[in-house]
Parts: sequence; C-alpha cells; structure tokens
Amino acid sequence: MENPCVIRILLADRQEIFRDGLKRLLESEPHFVVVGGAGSARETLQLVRDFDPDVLLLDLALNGGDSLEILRTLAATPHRVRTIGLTAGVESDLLNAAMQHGARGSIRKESASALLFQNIRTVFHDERWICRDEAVPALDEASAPAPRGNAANAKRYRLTRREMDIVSAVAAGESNKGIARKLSLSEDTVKHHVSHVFDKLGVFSRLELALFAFNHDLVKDVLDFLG
Amino acid sequence: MEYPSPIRIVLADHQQIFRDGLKSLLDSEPAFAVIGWAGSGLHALRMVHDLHPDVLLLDLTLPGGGLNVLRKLAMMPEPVRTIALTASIDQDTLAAALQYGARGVILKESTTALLFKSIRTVMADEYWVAREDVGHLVARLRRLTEQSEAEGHAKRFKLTRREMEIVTAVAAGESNKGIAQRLSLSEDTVKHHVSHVFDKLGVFSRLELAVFAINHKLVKDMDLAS
Repeated sequence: MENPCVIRILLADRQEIFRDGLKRLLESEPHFVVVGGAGSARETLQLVRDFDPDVLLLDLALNGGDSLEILRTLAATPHRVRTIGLTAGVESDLLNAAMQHGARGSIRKESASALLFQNIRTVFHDERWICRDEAVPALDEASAPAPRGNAANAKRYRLTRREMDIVSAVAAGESNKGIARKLSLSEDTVKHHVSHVFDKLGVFSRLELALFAFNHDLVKDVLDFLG
Repeated sequence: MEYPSPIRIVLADHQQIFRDGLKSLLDSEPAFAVIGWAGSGLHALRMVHDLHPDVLLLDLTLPGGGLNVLRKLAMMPEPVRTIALTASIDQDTLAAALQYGARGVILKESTTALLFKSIRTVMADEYWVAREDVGHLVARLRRLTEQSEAEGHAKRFKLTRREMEIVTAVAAGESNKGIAQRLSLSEDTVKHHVSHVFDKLGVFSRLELAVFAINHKLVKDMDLAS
C-alpha cells in the first residue's frame, strides 16, 4: 500500500558522489524516498516522466543553461513535481532565473542539511496537506549517533543509526537479503553490520538479538519498519 | 567474528550538504568511518592535529585555500594521507597539490566506486592520479629537470640570466643584430654582453663559445637546430 506521507524525490546533479551521498542522507530521514538520480537534462526529464516524483532537487549548474531548460519544459507540461534549485556559492542571477522559470525553492549547497530537509517538506506540503500530522524530527544533528527508537539506550550500547536500523529489522524478522534490499545495501554489508551488532550487544543469534532489543527498549515501533 | 578496523577519515569541504552526504555515504560502508569534518582550512588542520585520521578528503576550494592546508599539513609531525576531492582542477594546481604532499587528486564528478578505490589505494601507500593527467605531469617534470640543470650549469660559470640568453643565441648562430632585435636591446649592449661572456668563459670566438656551451651543457643540442 502506498504511504501517502512518503515524499518521493528525484536528484539531478552532474556529480555522482554528490547524488549518492545526498540519497543516503535523505533516506536517513523519515518519509523521504529517493526514486532516482540523473546527471543530465535528458536523463532528468526522462526520470521525471518515469517516476512522477513529488520533488526534484535540481543542480542549477547542470551543464550550461540545461537547468533552466528543464524548468521551462516542466512548466510547460502538467507535471506535479515541485523543483528546488541547488547552487554552489552565491549565484543570485542563476537563482533568480530559476525562480522565474518555476522553481519552488532554492538552496545553496553550503547550507545546513536540515535546511534542505525543511525546504523539501515545505515545498511538498504546499501541495499535499494531508501529511500535516507528520512529526518534524529534531534539527539538532550535533550528536553523531542519532538512532530511531530509544536514543539513550542506543547510546549506551554505542549503536550507530545504521546499526539501529539493523536491530529493528532483525527484530521484525527480516532476513539479511530482505534488509539489504530495503536499505539499499549489499548483503555482505548487512552481514557485517549484523555481526558487529551481535558483538556490541553480546548476543549470538537473531532470536537473542530480538529478545534483547525488546527487553532493553531498543525497538520502539517495529510496525514502523514493517510498513 | 573478526571485524576489520575501518579506515578513519576526516572530510574538509565548505559545502555542508555535500559533506553530510559524503559522510552518510562513507559511513554506510563498513570499511570506512568518518571521524570528523570541517568547513574551513583552519578547522581542517585542527581536526587532523587532534584526531590523527588515516585519510583526509580535502576540497581545494576550501576557505583558507586547499593548497595552504596541504603546505601546513606537510609541516606536521605526523603525516596524513590527503586526497584532494575537488570539482575541477587545472594542471598547475594539480602539480602544486602533488608537490605539497597530496597522495591523490580526484574530481567530484568521478564515480563513487572510484572514490572508494582511491581511498583504499592511498591507504596502501600508493598515489592516485587520473590516467589522462599523467602525461601532463611527466612533461612538466621534464621541463623542470631541464630548467634546473641549465640553471645549475649557469651558476657554475657565474652567468647572469641575460648572459645565458646571449650564450643560447650565439650558440644558435644568431648575429648581434638579430639578438638585439629579438631581445629588444641595442646592438652595442649585445656586443657588450658577448664580450663579457667571452671573458667569463675564457673563449675567443663565437664558434668556440658554441662548442663550449654544448660541451658544458649550457644549451641543449636541439636548440642549435633552430
């Protein structure tokens, strides 16, 4: 069943490293799903057609005037995608031009990530007000391990956010393969994480891990993950 | 189970969104662990000094200058393997970065897989440079070597730069008039220089000068062809 509170995002930027990193960053936020990444104008328009995303994060420096071309094309066709322009440095001319061509928002790459998340939600909620009860996560990203579930307990066992995801998944009965698919990781990476978690918590089987997790309040909403 | 210890990385980039994304990306790999990050040259240096990372990923356009950071890093007692991860780079900056101690240079436009590979490569104490840049670097190295050789020889005979120019020109068969025209000097001045050079080198004719110059490697054989 499609979750109406999921915000589906498409990334358009020439740098694959930027795209891959941004994808991971966005998907660690609740309700954000990255549906794809494009590196050119043609690819961007194709993926907008294929995936019908809610939000497009568009690098305004995409090959010459390509970004404005994309905005023009999107404005001319009945796409519901809302575009946020990304720039490096202070390029006010480019930002102004983007806004004039239909961008809903803009943000500099030097800005805080939390600001980007906020921009995405604002631009999305503009259109879809049914998600109003969505809790806004804490903007304080200063403490490095900020896991889902009971933060204090996770800290006590020194579990990272990713490891907390793994704990929740195992407690929900997911196989390594299933977890790998859900979290877009390789099965080997998942196995490594599971191993590491076993070590950190001093358990020897998935059943033990699940029991430990429930008893020590490490999993708040298993249903969260099953959904 | 044996868990291999991850490569400890510090990120230095002033684009926070890029930095946060890169951190997410690296942290999701068990082989890597981001232990610190900085948005300026000053903070980057402090991070490296305090945390002793295995690898530093450094954007050369960092406020304070990436090349400056490299220079300062070279002076630190404990070295850190630095990879310049930057949006674009020209050949001069590339050469400078390597000269100041960078172990690798990789563009932000590269694939993620290549970035991971470059990190593992410098950890193995090797260098990482794009294949297409190697030719430029070799050419540059050759020029530098020739220059310093010529300068070394010139020093031995206590020739000034201008006098070296005269030697090269005479050895190439140019007349005083021709030299004067080319170097925007008066013919008298050129004659003066030529005389002075004859004295310094202990020769008595232009031909002797040419032979001397070749034998003592003050000019390349090739120069004479022109």
